[in-house]
Amino acid sequence: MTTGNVITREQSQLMSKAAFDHLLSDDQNRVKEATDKLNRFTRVFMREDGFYRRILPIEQVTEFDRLVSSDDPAIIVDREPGSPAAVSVGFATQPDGYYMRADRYPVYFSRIQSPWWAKDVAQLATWVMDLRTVIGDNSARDLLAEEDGRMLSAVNTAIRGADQVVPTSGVVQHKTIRGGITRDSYYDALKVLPSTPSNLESAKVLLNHITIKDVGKFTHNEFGGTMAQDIMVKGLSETTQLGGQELVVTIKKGLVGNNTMYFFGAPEYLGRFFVYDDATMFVKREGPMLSFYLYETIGATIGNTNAVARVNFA
Amino acid sequence: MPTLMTQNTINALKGWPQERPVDYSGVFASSVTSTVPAGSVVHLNSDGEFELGVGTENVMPMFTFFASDSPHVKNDGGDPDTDKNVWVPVQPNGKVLALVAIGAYELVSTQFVAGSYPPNTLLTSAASGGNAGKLSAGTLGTHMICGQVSRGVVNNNYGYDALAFWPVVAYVYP
Repeated sequence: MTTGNVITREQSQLMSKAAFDHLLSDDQNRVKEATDKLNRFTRVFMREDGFYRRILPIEQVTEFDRLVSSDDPAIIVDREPGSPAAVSVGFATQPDGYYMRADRYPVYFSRIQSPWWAKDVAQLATWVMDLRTVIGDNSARDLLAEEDGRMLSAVNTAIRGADQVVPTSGVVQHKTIRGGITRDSYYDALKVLPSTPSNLESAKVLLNHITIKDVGKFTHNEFGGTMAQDIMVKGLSETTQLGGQELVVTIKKGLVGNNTMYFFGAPEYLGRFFVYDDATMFVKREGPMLSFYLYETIGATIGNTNAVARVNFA
Repeated sequence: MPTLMTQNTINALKGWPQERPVDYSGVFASSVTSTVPAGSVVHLNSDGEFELGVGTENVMPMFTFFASDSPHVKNDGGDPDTDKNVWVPVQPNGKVLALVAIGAYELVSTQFVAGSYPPNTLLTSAASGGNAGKLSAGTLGTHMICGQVSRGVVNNNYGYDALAFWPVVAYVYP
């Protein structure tokens, strides 16, 4: 299978089981071939799950910028500067002088890894459930959960506590809106992100699968058409849009609480998410013992805190 | 002169890296405000966070492998509560690798108090003061013992003095 082919989750699991069977082989070449296949399946899985990668797409890198004080991998990113305003002046007035400057910010890399799983292959063979696949898939989910958790932790740090002004923008980017989720309150929420000096509209809205049920309550008048009937009959789909924004719906209620929505500007205004080693499964077969763990080497920074906002609907 | 990569170091002369070492990855307590160089002695507080040294408490000694300001540990973009134009790192998350004293290795660290260290000298590390986190001679029964000198003071291979020792765990008498 080559990168870019689309396969379903079921196909992925079937092929994963076939690859796993090769892991039971004593032939190290077959074990390596199986490992390569498992890594491809894992990376398809990672693309489909996890909300961080849907909000800020990954960029694969093979080279780094060099630091004097450390040999840790890093990439330095230029950041667009603000601009002093043009002014009206009287005749013969010379313009003010500015030396051209801008900022840069670093994206430092670190590692996320799963636990190291081990089992005697004789005992693995007694399971009707494909234990290796189940644990492997859960480990991939765990990597994604750590990515998603780290991302939201950074976002919440950037926008400060509820209803507090952020020094960079001079406005509140974490707002409490009362009255529940209605058409009016949703559009009030959409005003938060563009209210910063960057004037960014929301490209993606992150909410959990409980909160979105309140959108399903919108009446015919609130939707302004027959969509209310469609949603009542068919439910909300992953492609539902609101106000032109793409909704990213997550089941991770522990990370994205009920009645909370996060708003993100387009990725090019938000930050950078680099990947050096994408999710990789290290597999070892040593005598009767099979062991594996997943790891990835990534770096991500929110370079522009004006590109994130949060609303709590009280 | 800026700090060089080779200036504050810890190396394992024997026993590391290995496939399944006894290591620990943790964050520093908020009370640790200064940069902690590689090779410093730390222990876990009641919140599971690193604090410097071992002092006279019965704690498990550990030895940090990287500095607390290493790029893969910390990316300081400013304080969003007070600063303008900050950046906020998603990764890293503040965790640094430490080798646990019950592991089987011989270590050599630049973080020690200058002095005489003949072989078999018992080592401790102050938990407070200017030498917090640095190895120094200790007294069995008085200090938490975290090591025993092996080869003494040696060159860390980059021109800086370093103390070679075997990690040892010897608790203060109850």
